[in-house]
Amino acid sequence: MKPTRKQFNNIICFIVFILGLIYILNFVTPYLYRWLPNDYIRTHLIIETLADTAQTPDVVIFGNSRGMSGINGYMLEEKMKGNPTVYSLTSTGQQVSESALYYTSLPSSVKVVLQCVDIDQLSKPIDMDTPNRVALHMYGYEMDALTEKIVPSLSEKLDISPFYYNYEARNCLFTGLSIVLRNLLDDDVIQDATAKELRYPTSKTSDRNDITYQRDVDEQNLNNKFVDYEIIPEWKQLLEDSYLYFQKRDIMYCLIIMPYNPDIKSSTFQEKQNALELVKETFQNIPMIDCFSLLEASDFYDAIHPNSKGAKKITERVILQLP
Amino acid sequence: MLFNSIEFLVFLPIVFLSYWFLFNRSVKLQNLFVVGVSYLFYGWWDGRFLLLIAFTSFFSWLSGIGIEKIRNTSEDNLKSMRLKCRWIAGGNIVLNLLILGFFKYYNFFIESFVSAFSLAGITLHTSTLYVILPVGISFYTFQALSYTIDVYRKRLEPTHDIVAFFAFVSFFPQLVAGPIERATNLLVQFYKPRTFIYDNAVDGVRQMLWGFFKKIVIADNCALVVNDVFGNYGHYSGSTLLMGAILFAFQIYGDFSGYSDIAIGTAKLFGVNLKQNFRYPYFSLNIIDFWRRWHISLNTWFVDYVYIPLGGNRVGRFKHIRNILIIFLLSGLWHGANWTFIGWGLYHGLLFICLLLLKGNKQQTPRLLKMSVTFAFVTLGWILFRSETVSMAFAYITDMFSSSLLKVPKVSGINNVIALISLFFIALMLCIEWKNRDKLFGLDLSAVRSIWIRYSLYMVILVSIYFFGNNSSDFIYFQF
Repeated sequence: MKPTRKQFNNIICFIVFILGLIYILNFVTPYLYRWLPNDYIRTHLIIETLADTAQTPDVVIFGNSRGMSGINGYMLEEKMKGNPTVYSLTSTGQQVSESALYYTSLPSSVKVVLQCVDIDQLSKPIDMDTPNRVALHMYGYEMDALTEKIVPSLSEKLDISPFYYNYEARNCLFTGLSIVLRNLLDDDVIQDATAKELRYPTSKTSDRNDITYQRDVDEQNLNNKFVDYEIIPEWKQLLEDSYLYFQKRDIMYCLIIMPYNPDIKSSTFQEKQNALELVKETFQNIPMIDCFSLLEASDFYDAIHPNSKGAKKITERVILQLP
Repeated sequence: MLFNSIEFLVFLPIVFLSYWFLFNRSVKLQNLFVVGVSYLFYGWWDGRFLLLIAFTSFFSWLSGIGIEKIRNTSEDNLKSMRLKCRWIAGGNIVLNLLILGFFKYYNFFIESFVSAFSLAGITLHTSTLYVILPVGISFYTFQALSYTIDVYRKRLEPTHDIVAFFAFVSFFPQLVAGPIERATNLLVQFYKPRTFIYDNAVDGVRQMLWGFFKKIVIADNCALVVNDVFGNYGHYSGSTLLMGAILFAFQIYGDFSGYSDIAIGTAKLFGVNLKQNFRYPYFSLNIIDFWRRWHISLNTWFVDYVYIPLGGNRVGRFKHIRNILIIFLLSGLWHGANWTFIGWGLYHGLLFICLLLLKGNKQQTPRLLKMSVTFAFVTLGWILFRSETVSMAFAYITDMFSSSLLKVPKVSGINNVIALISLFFIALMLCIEWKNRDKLFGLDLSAVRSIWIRYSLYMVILVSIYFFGNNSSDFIYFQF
């Protein structure tokens, strides 16, 4: 015996209720996302800063969390010739392709762009992690035609239904709560560094996390990033197009090869050297500052992020070698 | 297709409405529809293995027909008839177990064989195969076997309705992770027209909601911390390892009982009743009680088809102990091709035997203490279950019971917070389940008169699933 008419109506109402609830929760998610703290709030800071015509940096730094902790903007301001205004527009997970999304929005005051590069990324296809895409969407990023030419592969990846973005962002309540609790429980965190700091957005107070260091190194040692190393043509194109773009704008575009922890021994010395040589050869026209083997193990907070000592060394080299 | 996926969210209402309004003209048509959608559900994962489930179903069905034909033939004497029936039943059992054994245990036995010989200094060169384990094979194989055995034992009349039989084996809510149903319960429901009972359907939706909460909010969040702790156990303190073990206990409970709740709830929508598979196992007062509450369908299967035929407890003490060890070892082996599962089964078997020899726990021990001690023993077993190797399990336990057991537990980064949030939801789940421990499932709020309380709790759970649910991950028991 099938459901009666009344029961059928109730069932339909229930299905509609569930769909309606999902729609409402999906609709509310962006507001929660923007209101609650999250690990990608720097994207908001970057977009806001670039949109603010009152902001006139002379030097900008792009890159991921290694750039955030590895380059000290205050030191650059103090020691670079002319004491330029330096902004670190680095953010979590920001690969070169994501950095390129911001290039055309840079104000005319910018004279130097320092692009942090993890050379192992250049051997993988251009992509963007979902949380980064979600953050760009949530904070109102829109790609212009010129950026589409520089990073064509990301155009399709960013052109997705808002419903999907909102759905992917649904954990914002969870991560927001997590960050609030983490800030309360973890005394090694510099609060608001990620959300507000424009010069040196490192989020750690100490120089080493002993609990996680060896574990992180062991994890990194499982993966040889430089075996059979080759640079994907898309990356070559992207970096060359970026260089040409900045040349037209009379902006110096300089790549900073970020350091590799010597405690990570999954790759041999020769493999790493070969990779580095290939990068230098491929991008020989683009100014480059090699920090790949600059740091010692003690200059790292964990397996991959430089600590304050490491940041000092990297920044000093940048000041010394910047063309 | 996963239950916790967008595809299932679309699949279920369409199937539900079609089942009751389009394909309800006859039982056969409705059963055929069930087979169709069940094969679609299963094939969504990997269509190649549809042939395997069809093969298992067909030969099990055929074995029933064969046994019936022999019994109806009056030409043979009784002894000869019994022998032929035994051959048919045995043949089907061996065939299905061979298939199961190949897909599940081939590489394990080869590798174990090679290791055993290497201990004696003999190097064997063999090749292992990359064999994909078909999802749910352990479940539907045992389900089909139960039919053959019940027909052989004359507990069930063999069915001529092949469509009903295929629907019984492949019924999608319980196909890939149980409960392992008996033909005496499930097959007979496919003989007659199903009736839509509104209250049952509402109950079913409630049970599904509870299942999704346990899986998505509790199990999947615990998994993040558990993977970190077990993956890096050498770097963490004893207290962190203890926390990891406890979270795994709730991960596997949330995952497996959550799946069962979703399966049973979904079946209710289609007018089908499945057996309860979990009865609040962490409220058990001892190990024997635990095994009456955990994965009930598998344990009763082993009791009915292995333990009792071996004599059960109606034999001498030595044989009784032997029988208990056999079913626990088989239960461990059923879970997977690894010595850790066998070790886990053996561990529980020994605990079971100890309790039996001590003639149970008759002391006037507070209930909470009994539950805590039982939970502690069970959690120790879960360490073995979760570990990749037996030696890793022992290293984990050794590190856990070190001086660092008294430190504040701490994992890496955000996992600390995920652990806290998971513990909060676990506490919420335990409170609700404790309150409803006499009901069939935790969210059975039929006794709560206040509509505001009921609907507020439903909304809290729905919103928690949406906002606190982690990204979809496979159910643990899919690997079995």
